[in-house]
Amino acid sequence: MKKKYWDLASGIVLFLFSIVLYIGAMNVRTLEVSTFGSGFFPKIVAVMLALASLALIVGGIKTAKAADGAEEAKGNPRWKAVLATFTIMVAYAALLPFVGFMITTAVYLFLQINILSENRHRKPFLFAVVSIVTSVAIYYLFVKAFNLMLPAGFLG
Amino acid sequence: MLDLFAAGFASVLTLGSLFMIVLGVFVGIIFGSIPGLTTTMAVALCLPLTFGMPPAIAMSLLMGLYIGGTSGGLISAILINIPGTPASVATCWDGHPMASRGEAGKALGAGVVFSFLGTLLSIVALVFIAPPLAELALLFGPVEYFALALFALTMIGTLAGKQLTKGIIVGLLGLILAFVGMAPIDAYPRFTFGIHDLDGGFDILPALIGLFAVSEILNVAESEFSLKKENVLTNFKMKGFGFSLKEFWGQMYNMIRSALIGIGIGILPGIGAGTSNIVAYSVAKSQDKHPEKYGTGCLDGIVASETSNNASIGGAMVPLLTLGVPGDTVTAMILGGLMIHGLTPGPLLFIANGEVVYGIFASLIIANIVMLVMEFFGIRVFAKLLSVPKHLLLPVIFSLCVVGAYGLNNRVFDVWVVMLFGVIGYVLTKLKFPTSPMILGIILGPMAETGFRRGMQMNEGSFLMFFTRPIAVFFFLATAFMIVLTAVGNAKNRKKEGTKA
Amino acid sequence: MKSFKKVAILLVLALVASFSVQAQVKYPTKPIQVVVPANPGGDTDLNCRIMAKYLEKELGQPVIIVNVGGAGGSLATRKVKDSAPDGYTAVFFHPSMFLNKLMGLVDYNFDAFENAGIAVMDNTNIFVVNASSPYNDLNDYINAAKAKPGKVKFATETGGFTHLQILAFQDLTDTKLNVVDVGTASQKIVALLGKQVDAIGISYGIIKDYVASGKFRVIGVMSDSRNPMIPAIQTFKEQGVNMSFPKFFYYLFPRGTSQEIVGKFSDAIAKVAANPAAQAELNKFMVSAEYMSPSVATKYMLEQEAIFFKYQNLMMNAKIEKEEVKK
Repeated sequence: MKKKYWDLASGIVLFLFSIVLYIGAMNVRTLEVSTFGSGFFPKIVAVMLALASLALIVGGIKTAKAADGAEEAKGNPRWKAVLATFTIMVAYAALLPFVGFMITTAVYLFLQINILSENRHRKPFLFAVVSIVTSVAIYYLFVKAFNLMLPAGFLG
Repeated sequence: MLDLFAAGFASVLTLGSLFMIVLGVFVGIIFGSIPGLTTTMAVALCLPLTFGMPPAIAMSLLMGLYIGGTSGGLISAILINIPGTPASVATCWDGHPMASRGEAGKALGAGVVFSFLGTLLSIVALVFIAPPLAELALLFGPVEYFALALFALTMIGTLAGKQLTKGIIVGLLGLILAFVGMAPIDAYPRFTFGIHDLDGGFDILPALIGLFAVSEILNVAESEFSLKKENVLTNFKMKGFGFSLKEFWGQMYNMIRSALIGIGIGILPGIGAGTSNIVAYSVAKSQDKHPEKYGTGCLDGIVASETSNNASIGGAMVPLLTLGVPGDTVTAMILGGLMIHGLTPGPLLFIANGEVVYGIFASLIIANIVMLVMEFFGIRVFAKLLSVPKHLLLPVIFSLCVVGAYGLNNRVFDVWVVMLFGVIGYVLTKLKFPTSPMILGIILGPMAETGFRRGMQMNEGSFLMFFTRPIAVFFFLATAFMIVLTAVGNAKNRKKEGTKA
Repeated sequence: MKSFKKVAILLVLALVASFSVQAQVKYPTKPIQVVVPANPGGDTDLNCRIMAKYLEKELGQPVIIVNVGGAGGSLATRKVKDSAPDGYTAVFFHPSMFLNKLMGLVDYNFDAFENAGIAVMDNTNIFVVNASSPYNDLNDYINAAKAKPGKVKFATETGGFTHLQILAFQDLTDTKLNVVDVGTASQKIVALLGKQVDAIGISYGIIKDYVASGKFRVIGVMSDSRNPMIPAIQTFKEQGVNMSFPKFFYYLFPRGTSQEIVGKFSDAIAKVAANPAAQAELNKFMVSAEYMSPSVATKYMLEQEAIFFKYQNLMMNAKIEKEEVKK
């Protein structure tokens, strides 16, 4: 989707969301059967969101009608890198309770550093050392010195 | 009072105590400057270590941590655009742009000096007018909190600047996210879809880490590495504190106003530095003749943020020491610490343990000075540390963020919250929405709703309460004023540009 | 070769020894986490920290306090319930856990865990008023409530222990108060100091300095007989209101934790309770270390549960009733 349609699309999505929110607010279980129960504020916010998203839609229409302005591409966005980063972050969180902090962190660090650096800067050995040392250092500092519990997994 | 002060200083000017202060400030600065690790966490972790110590020394350590931690956040905020603690969120907004221009020294120097001044002013307030300030805090019932929250929410308009509609939307989204969890008053879960981990709602810390740190990492991943940009950031020249005497005097009004905001918010139980820095920044922007300069790297923004967050330290200590009621999360920990050492803060603390109280005052004063000196000499060290290439630094910071998020409640769920907010922050930025209003929404939403509903309970459902309570009325009027101001400002902008926000 | 044989024999002996040692579990071998379902600064957190200080000495390993406040304590209890039953995670809580089930916030109670016993007793549940108010004792308060139904205010935390207390009170004295939610102990203190409410329900230890300095007045304590640590306070029963609510603090381990481990922890609690230094520290806050072994504690807690559940309907219908009165 072209950039100029983004505002309009966002506005529509948000408007629909505000309707969903309002319906959800009507079903909130509450101890008080009164006008100002737990559903009250969410309803008000839902209405305000609906109004704001309508404003955005109106603005979005104007932007969409405008001529295709210079779609400045600031360099080449590295979408693959973004996706990769997101993926390993999710994997990190998912594996944390099972494999434990030290190992998952070391692996994450190694992968993330590789993603962020670009080919000309890659020094795998250095990265591996940094990953392992950092991970171990953090673990020992917080768990042993500060007695903060970190997921131990099956190895620690 | 003078003899009590003398006794206080005497108890603190011992080798053991001074060492603890220095250690506390040092550790505090480190915890404060690393995103994901907070002052509250530093105090929580060091609390068990204080059990064997005499109370005066334990307090020296904790005060050092408090001051070092609150101020330390500015370092990462300025140098890597990620706030070290929730207290330095607003510092990013002008601190980092200034650094990107090659003026990191000025930003850091200003941050350090005004952190010092903010703390100093709040210590003065604490020492000399704590009891009346405490009385003031007692006047704030639920209705007043509601009014105050409403007023602070209008700051969203100021922060959003030209993008008023989008800013409001993001603020509302923040409010909506804050609804998730147990509803105030009746405590039934709302919008949790049966997921029990959501019963507690979204904690502000993982949300902040996600919005700032994760989205920053995703942004860096997306853009190409620029050696030139990196060097500009870290190779800055610095003379003295980096800014001129003329500039210093120019910030006086800003500083005093921000300090008052910081102290005021600090004395109110339940809100502290995390809120005051954003509010002070917004107020500074709204009162400025040239609000557009905010966000581009202006000194005022940094001064407002760093003065107020440190001023909240003394502010939060007021209800703690006089009423035994904590002013923010850090003082809540300190309260636990005091009680474990057999000291009950409250009306009798000054009478029964006066020397301890004045020892605390003395520790605060000394720790403040230590912080100034340490950070001044440390500025170049920080810059060197942060000249470590981003592709090495950011992942390490993320893993520390994971520690911070997990350590909050000991659950991996909070790490998932970080991810969620990271995505939200990234998507918002990509769609050209401002992210700063979201924080206001998350912090102030619960305060507004709880205040309103409790107020209703207390006044048996009558709306009269909104009109008869002077403090509340003041804030309602201020709210209305801000709304009008923002609307007018926005209309003016639109006329100027002929396009809709 | 000789030395090799020696080493081999030693190794075999060590292996045999380790197998026999495994029959008797070594506990604890690493720090133990005690989860507190409250934020720091309140009485639950304080009692737990004091206990932890002494438990560490008995157990020989650090006892780490983890605060998981929120959701009435259900976040903490749920977390421990789902933790590994290896004896290194426990929860320290009080009657509010029963209330979580009563209100439908969770569907389990303490019997979904292994009970390590009761450690601390708090018989200082009181109603407190601001010293400037006209209420000198419970009956003044009751009379005022009868004179102006639904107007006299009482501050509590919805779903908390004091909420149950006030419902029982209203039921027993046939009064209707304006029960408002103000939140935590600190917030109750602020509300009472600021005269925003007429009375609060709280533990004595937290507000003792306010009584001593003349700012607060205690109008009754909910124990069976006068508490020797605060002998001047009349009990509710003395004043004609037949209610008694002790606040008991206990440790729970996840279901499935070995009885041996629970037993060792429980023994440690017993030793701490018998320790005069620990007792003195707790007494400073008007609570006392009183040990009840797992079986005794379970019986006691079941009895208490029955008492609480008598008020379940009251609790669930409380707000609806109030609305109808208004109309």
